Amino acid sequence: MHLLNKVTTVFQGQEFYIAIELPNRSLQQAKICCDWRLKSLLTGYEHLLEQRLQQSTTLAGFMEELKTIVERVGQDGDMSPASVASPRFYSHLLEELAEVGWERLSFIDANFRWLHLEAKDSCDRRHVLKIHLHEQHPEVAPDCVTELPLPFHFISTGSNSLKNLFSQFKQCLEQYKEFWDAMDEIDSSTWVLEPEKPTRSATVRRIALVNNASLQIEVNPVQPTVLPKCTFLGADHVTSPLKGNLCKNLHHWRSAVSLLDNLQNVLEVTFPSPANTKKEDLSVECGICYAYRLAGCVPELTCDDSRCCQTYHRDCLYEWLRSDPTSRLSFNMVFGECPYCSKPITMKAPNK
Amino acid sequence: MALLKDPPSGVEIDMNKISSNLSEWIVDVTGAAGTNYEGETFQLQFKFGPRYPFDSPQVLFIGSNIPVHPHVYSNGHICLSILTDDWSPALSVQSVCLSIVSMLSSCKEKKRPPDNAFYVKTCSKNPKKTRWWYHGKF
Repeated sequence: MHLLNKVTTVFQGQEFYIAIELPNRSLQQAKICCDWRLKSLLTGYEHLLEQRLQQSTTLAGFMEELKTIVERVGQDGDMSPASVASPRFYSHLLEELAEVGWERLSFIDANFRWLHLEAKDSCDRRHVLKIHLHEQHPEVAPDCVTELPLPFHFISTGSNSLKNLFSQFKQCLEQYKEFWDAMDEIDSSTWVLEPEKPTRSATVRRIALVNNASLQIEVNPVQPTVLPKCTFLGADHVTSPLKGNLCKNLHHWRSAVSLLDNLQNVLEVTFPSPANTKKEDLSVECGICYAYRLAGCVPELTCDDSRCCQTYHRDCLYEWLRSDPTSRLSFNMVFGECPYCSKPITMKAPNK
Repeated sequence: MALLKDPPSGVEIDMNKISSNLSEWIVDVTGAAGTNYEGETFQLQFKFGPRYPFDSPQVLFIGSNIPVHPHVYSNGHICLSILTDDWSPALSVQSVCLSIVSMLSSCKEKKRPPDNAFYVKTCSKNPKKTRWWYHGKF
């Protein structure tokens, strides 16, 4: 005997009809039919439904379970079924894309809400403009996500058209031309230790100097040729003379010369370049964990003894000094011995 | 963990005997030429605890051939300061092996430690639990 139950379940004001077929009146072999909206909601949760069916003793009990599942799934996912905009939205979008040029379009999502437009600047660098269209496009301005060093603001001058947006983006790219030229020169002719893969928006570079010292610069994207913010990392005996050179030669900084040349002139060094060195020789691993990158950190601390110069991750050295009874903590500084050469080494205690 | 990229002479890792979680290694050590242990091979067992490298590994000689040496007990325990008090996280498997080989090499007379019989009877299985009293500096 087949028993067919039709049940309604209400969730967030939405009604779903489901039909449950019970061959042999046993819940274990129940067959559930429902409308497509509920089905799409429950996709991926089939195993859960099956498990609840096996465990429930009564149909009412199972219905309670089903309701809980739907409610939980509804919270995680978007309850509104893929919203379909008015036909005008799509025809308008197609016209706009034709205006911008279809070859610019590198991605569009299934709902036609997210699209990526690609632009090339005058130096042939690729840039992506990610656009999120509002439902009431073009009345409401779209949101943009870009990879520019400073946030990009779309100024709607009467029209929210993609063409207008795209041309503003291209203008904006030209503003950063000098900045990217400078960064590209640094990326290609020095060893950049960090970031590992610099994005177009990254203004910070950590440039390798010698095997255990590096220079971190933070470049102003609007005025890339002025002196960047410089921080030296590494053993004192390597970095102190460079700091001295920087102060001494500061007046030799010429904004007509490229950033890289300026840095090399002022510091009186030549940065090791991919042409004559290997990265492994410059990115020296931590003396404790033997890794270079640990949980996103690179070794930052260096033994100041000029014959040792061993580098350590902050976390690794602290962990060791903390467990070493001969080291001591005073005024938030840890005093201990270098695990390599046993010479005194100090570090700031991490703020925890 | 330290990798033995280029092992020092007379030291060889037995890849088959490394436990799957890398916490136990067996290293074959050969006595250096021109010393009392020339031609002899020994097996060293390394056991790494969860705190390694902040805590020293447990190292002892295993197998049938335990070197006869004034700092090696007949149960395989080694009296070597870097394995306990003087441990540093900068030490690797390679440097520990090298220290042990050099300890063997510097031996002038092949004999057991004077307190061997007593120690072997009373000690714990784990050499790290022994309060070692180091004679001489290594």
